[in-house]
Amino acid sequence: MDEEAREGADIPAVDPAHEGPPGGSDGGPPRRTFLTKLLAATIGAVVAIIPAAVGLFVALEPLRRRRGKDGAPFIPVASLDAVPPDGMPRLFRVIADRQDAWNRHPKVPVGAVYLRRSREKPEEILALHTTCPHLGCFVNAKPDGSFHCPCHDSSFNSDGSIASLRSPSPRGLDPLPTRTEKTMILVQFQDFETGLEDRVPIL
Amino acid sequence: MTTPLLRRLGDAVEQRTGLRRIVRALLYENIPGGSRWRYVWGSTLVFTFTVQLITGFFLWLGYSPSAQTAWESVYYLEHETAGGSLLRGIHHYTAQAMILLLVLHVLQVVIDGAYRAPRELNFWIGLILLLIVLALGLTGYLLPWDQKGYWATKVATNLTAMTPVVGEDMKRVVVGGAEYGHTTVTRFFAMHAGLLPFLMILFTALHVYLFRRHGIHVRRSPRAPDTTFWPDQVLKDGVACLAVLAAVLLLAAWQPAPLMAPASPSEPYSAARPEWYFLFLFQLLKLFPGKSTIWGAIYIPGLVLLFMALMPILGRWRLGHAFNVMFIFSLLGGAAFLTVMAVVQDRANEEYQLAVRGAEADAKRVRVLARDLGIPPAGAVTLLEADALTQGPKIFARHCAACHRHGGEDGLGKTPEEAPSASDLQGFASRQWLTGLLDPARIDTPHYFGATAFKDGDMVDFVKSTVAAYDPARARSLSMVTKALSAEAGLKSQRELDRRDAAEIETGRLLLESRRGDPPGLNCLRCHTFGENGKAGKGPDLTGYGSRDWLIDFISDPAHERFYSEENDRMPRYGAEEILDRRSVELVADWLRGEWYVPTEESALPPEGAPVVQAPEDRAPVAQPPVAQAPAAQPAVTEAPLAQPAVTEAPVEPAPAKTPESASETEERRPEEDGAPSLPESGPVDFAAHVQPILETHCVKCHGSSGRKPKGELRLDTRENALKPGESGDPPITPGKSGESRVLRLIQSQDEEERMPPADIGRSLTPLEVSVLERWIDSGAPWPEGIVLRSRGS
Repeated sequence: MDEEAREGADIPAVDPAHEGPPGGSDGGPPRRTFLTKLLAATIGAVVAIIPAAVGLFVALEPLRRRRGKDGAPFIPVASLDAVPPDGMPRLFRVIADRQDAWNRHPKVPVGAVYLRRSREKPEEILALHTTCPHLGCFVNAKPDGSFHCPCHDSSFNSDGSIASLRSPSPRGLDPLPTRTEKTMILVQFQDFETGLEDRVPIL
Repeated sequence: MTTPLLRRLGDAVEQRTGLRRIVRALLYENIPGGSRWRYVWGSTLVFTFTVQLITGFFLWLGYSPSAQTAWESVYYLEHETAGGSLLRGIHHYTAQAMILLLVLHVLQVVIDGAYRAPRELNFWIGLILLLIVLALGLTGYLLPWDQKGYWATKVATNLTAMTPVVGEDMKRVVVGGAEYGHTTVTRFFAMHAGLLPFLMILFTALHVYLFRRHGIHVRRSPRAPDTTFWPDQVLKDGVACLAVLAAVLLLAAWQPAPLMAPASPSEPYSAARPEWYFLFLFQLLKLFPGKSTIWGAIYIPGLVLLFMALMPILGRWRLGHAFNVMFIFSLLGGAAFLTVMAVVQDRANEEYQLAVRGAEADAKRVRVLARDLGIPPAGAVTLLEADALTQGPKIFARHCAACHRHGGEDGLGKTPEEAPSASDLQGFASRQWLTGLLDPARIDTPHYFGATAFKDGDMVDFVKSTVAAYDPARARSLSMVTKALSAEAGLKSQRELDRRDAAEIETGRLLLESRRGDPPGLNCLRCHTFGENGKAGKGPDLTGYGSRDWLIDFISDPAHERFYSEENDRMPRYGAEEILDRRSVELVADWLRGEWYVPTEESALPPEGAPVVQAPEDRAPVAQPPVAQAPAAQPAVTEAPLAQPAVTEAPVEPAPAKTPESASETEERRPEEDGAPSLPESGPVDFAAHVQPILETHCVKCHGSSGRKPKGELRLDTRENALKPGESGDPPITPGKSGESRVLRLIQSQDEEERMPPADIGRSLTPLEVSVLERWIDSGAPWPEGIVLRSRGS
């Protein structure tokens, strides 16, 4: 109420240089104390920002939710017999439990790998991620054992290395650590960021 | 001084857009008579709506509209996303604030007569906005797809079906078919987040435009000089909005927006009520019996709205305006009265209060299950459907409580009016329960056989004459037989006791079968079957008495020759006559046996289902002093420590001094005594004190990260590793399920090759150590954050 009194006192002062009323019919706008304007603007900003800030915080949740750096588990993918040592890559699905936001899916396909054993060193198992390191398309294996990406024509040798200078992929196919247990091949399945020269695991 | 460049840029924009003019027009609106607090209501409404648009968008980012994912996505936001609960709370309470502010706004307009020419049109637009806001509230209520929203929406949509002529078709279109499901959610969501906000923006813009055109409605001729909207009125509006926001934030922090159990058409929900601002309509409907419901549902609300639309016309006359004011006040008064009436009636309605508690227990329970077990793709509703703690008491109340009791109640916290005509099944087959059954003073009370045909049967006769006359030696035998019989049940709550008393139980089994000897046998096989021995038919088979299979078979067919044969007293053959499906029988059996998932960190949530179900006793921690079980007059046999196996527990002694009622009361809830030093007798064990030493001594040397390469990929050094599926797919530890946990299987394996730890590495685990791990896993395998185990070397 004393505010109204203050307004009254302020009325005669007019700032012609400052914004004038659009119609201009009822005289110039009264100059208000700086404090009133500051307060009004501050409160206005606060009430507008708080709900938006809460929402933004929630929306940025994926940045906070990351898996530990402990390394992905080894997952049994195929038996040794399924990968004859002939140097040809073979495609296998990776089956694991998957947590998709609120849903827990027990034992569902979470990705795929190429497994390959060479004639020379049959005890060595090469596991390659099927995702193209260029921009993430699914890489195809060709009959001669090399790889080709259907999206931007990245090409890779059968050991995963870049096959041609014109290949747009910044790095070769991503190898994954493997282990054998009795006759089972286990792969440490892990996704990597694409488009980078370095292999950066997606946690 | 403004830089010329900036001003030139501003001028350029102004020339091309006229932006400056628009902003000025908005900010420098004339306010005749100066700014006032009473002008803030409209602005707070615009503000609350803006808050809803903002928070609504962010909620949208996480919401998945389908019957199988709506509840689940809201759960994820509410309980597993940081800040999600606050965001939802703001949206929830701002919606309610909006209703309140709207009422105040309408009230002010009517009282001031601000609906009169030239403002009639704007008044009507205001009424449309009011309806849109109510529709937003109604559609939003369903979206979490929980029991609350589901049943309230069912009622609301069924009301639309009452609309003459088009009602049923209208409902079908709104619901998206004949049944409530995916399409109901998608449709309500599209309305709530699409069409309704769009209309709201449209009509708000029109409303504000017309308001600006007509100017503020001034009540009296102004005494103070005119002012402009910015900054005086903006400041007042801002303060009002801040107050609203503060109230909303406080409410959201104090009481998060509710999320009940997921919607299920098969689960009764007697706690169904609309949001509070619709309570008056809800109550109104109760006043219209039978076919006249349509009056409460459609005609009266319709007429009220019609009358409100006519207010500007009526208000042209002085008397008409007075009538309008009277009308709006009596309308508000009536609504307030009906609301209070609804609340008062519900408060006094025990049935409703019980339903609310049950609904809250379900809501908490599903939260625990979703958190610890994960939500299967079929949706969270399946978690509750398969949960014995949730379903057991409900099935019991529906099918068993007409005759039986559970702790004197019907399973759902209600004490039936009629006296029980069969035994009280709380703690069935436990030592206490059997002790009472074999007590001459109690067997023929209503707690056991008192109200059944067995009251005059052979068993009651045997207990009352033979058992009553037992000498101390036979009384000791009875104690051991009781323990042996109870051990047949394999109750989770007695696992520790059964293990501790293994020797006594073994003796008890022999005594149960034998006739004489030392200690003297009890010759139960005269009537009962036990294992391979005895003759069937006269009494129930005692093989596996009270075990899961036994109980399921019994409930399925009590008249089977294994059980009561033709002597079965009125108990329905639930399975044999297909009264209950197999799953329901299993659920009620599991519940009676106390077999259900126990959460990891009980402290994270208030105790589950406390008002609804009573977990079978036996949970008493060891700290509790040993209870002198028998009345003081009785020369109680002191409980000797473990060394002395042939211990008699006092209640087994014939206790002629006891009155049946008081005895059964006190004994039934008496905690089992125990001599173990630091380990709690049953229930959860402490990780750091009991579990960690075992794992660190026996497991982590190989199954850890400490220097040596883990022999197996299986690692037990962190909780994450221990719960992670290994090479064979199974995780080493499945919280809550010791039976499914690989670790437990491997440490107990009979196969030398398979058993852990391998013979060349370390000794096998003792039964006590095994039981500690088992109990730890069954209690959800709590593992404090961040603890990494290091080998201690054995």
